[in-house]
Amino acid sequence: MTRMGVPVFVAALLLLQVVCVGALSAADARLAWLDAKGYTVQATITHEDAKLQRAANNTPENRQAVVDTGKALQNAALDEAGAWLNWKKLEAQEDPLVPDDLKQRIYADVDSNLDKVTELRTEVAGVTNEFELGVMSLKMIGKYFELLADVARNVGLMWANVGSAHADRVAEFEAKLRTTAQSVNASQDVMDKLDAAASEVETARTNIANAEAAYELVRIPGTPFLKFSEGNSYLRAAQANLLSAVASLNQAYVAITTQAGV
Amino acid sequence: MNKTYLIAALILTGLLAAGCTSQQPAGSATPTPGASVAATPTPTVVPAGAAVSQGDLDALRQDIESRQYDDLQDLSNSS
Repeated sequence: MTRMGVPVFVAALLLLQVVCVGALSAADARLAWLDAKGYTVQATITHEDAKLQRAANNTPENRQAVVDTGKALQNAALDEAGAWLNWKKLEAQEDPLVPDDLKQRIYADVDSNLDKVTELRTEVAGVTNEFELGVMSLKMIGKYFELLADVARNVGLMWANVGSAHADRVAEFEAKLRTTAQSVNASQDVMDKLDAAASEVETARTNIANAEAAYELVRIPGTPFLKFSEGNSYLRAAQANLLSAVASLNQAYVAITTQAGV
Repeated sequence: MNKTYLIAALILTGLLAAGCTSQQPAGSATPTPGASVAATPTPTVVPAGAAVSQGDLDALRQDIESRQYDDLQDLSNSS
């Protein structure tokens, strides 16, 4: 191997590794969304500062600064919406537990709303004064719901679907372990653990059904983002139920294998 | 010198293999070969027809744990 051979070999391996871990792109897209959220917060602070400056000293330069920072804020909000939409598309794409019809609905909604983001960006670029900025701000508040509501509803339903698949899987393992426990005359403690797991799965199913009902209400008119958060809260509760169930199954599993002398 | 390159190549190939292995679906319950001590393989609970392995439980737990439900905020406070 020549002196140059090693760096080239290392570079090729690193490149291949990047290709191999390409499946993490939904996780990367989430980080990009979090970054975009951070930029929106920064742009908001900058715009508020500009408005304070203008209030203290109403010069043409300060008025122009309000327009410029306002446009930057609107673009940041559109970037954030675009980043979220891209992330949701990749999330649906990569998840094997999401049914195809739901995936297709999410793809269509994302693509259509990314087009709307582009249109809004053109409108923001056309803003030249504070009056137009104010009109655009009002328009953006309403459009923001429109941009994200359809995708949020379908993403929520996608998550509920995945939650149900997880609940089914936990229930399946519980049933298998119960069969095994009965065949080896496992202790009452093992049966109690399995009962606890079954009970947690049932509670999780109730939470998932509540989440699904909340996500169905992520629509305009209404309070789509509040309903989305409500659905998320139910799913977080279901997630805790299922993790508790798996922990109980794990304890039962260890007890059974110990008793069976495996 | 060539021996050094060979060792470096072997280490990097190992890293590459580890990177490729890490993208297996989270639901996959296939245990990583050589991950456990050969004398104590992950036991599968009998009877075989109703088998559940520790790997199955771990994979399911990881898949459930990995889910994140991020909320959305409107623009009313930032425009």
